[in-house]
Amino acid sequence: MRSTLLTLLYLWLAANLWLAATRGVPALVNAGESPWGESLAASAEELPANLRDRKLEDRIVHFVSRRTGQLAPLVKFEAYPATVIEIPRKGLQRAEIIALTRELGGNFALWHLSQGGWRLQEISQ
Amino acid sequence: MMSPVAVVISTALVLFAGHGLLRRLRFSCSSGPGWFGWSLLAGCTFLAALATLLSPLSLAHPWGLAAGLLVAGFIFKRPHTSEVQGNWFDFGSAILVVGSVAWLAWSKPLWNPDALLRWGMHARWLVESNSLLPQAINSIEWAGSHPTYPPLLSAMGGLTIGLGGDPEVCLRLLSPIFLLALLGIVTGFCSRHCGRRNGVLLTLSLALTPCMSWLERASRMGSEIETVGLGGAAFLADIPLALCLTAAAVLILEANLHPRERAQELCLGLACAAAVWCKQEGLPSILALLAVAAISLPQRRWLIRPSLIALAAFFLWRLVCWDMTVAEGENYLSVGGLGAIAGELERFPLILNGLSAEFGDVLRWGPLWFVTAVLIVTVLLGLVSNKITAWRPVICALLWISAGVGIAFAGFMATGWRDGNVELLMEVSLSRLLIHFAPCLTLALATALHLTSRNNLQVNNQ
Repeated sequence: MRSTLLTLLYLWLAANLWLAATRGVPALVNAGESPWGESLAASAEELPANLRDRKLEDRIVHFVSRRTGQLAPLVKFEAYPATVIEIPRKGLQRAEIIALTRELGGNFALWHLSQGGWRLQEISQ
Repeated sequence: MMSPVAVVISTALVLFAGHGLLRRLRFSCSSGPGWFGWSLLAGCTFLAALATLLSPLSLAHPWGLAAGLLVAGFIFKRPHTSEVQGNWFDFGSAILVVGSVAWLAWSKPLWNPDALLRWGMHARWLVESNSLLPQAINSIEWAGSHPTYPPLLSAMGGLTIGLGGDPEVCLRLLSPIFLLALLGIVTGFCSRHCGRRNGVLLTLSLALTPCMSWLERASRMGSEIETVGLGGAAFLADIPLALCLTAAAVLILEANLHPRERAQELCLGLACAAAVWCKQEGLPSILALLAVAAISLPQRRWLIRPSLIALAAFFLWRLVCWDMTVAEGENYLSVGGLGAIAGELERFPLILNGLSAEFGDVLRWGPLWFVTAVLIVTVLLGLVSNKITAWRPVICALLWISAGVGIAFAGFMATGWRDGNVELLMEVSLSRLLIHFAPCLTLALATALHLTSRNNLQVNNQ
């Protein structure tokens, strides 16, 4: 019986080592790549007047474009259950971002990115 | 570079307080990695208690908490009553795995909504308002941020941010420390009971389980939900809860394999409180763990006081957060939530399908569930030729894993999250829930190896 248990242990370890070598190591090597999905760039002119009916990222693009006078590249990450959007743009002050969240009309958590810019997380259940 | 420094300082403070507390309780643990795990657990429990008591008064300033830990470490300190052997060399492979997890955590932004909007946000509340429960969030709009979630992880995060860490980076770096503590306790137990070599192999097997340390997978539902680093690299409460439950399990098994000491009872109470303050599933999980132990093991009377400590910790936190809102459909311990377990029978096959898919997912779990199944069969066969009393600890450890599956099952039956969207909820949380009791497999295997060693077989046969 002891030999069965030891065989079980060796099999467990061997399988996990194989998984680590074939899947874990590549995951570690690629860890530095951006996880944030596609870049979004939209023109303010393309947005309809009623921004409230538009998707959240469109509204943010519109807002940031208006404030900065430039198209605002955003990176968006669709996470459950909340939408997370990064605005990797320096020069936007905290007060401006708070104004943005008021305009958007939802609840948002703000995170200042260490490389500059902001991250907004929609607070939902 | 301030964040790593802040993480090191906050961890050192917690370890110092925990170390002192364990010495005050006359707790003995001969393994260095095990002592590290126990110290972290004890220190975090003390920190959570401090943050819980000071939050209603908005006095939980991070620097105040740091001073509290420092003072506690000095006050509790007393001479060692038992010798702690270093044996860190045996722990080297586990440290290497956790090092790679730390690299993963360092490289990846904090992305999981539970990490961002629950634990990370609560930690920031502590820094900004010196309370885990600021009055400003006492409204229904904030219910989705779950202010009633327990304090342990948020307090640890808040302490680290308050000591100068980046609000995001330092939270990422904290997570692997809990995994290291969990592996420390596991290696301490395994090395003691089935030899150093087997102890190292068992610890490494657990550490390399993909969803404990790293995880790369595509969602079964077709969406691109990224899960790399879901386990030890994510600032979530699942690995910390696994640490608390494993610590409690180790103490119970130790008490049934060797003469019990009074310090074990006190430390079991500490682990119970830590589990309750760690995650909302903590209370049912620890009560299930104690109940299974009471049913399957001969030493049961000493489990009463730790059960009472778990309940006291739960009611203390509920008292402190009594006026905070709970998100609709997520009050699992309410009459409605418990009633839904029996009332939502159409979910039954859905949940069974989800569980079977999970158990067969080798990319997520490695062969962990296969090993569990084979071990169950082996133990059943072993019972034919041996007395059942000798195998009780192994059976108990396997029952704990079953209890973990049962609790996850009940949670999915009761949930009202997103109008009861069980499939999505299972997709995003089933692996995490099963992590809580998964380390018990290592304990079961180590105990079985202990019982089948030559010396013990002779004792059992006499």
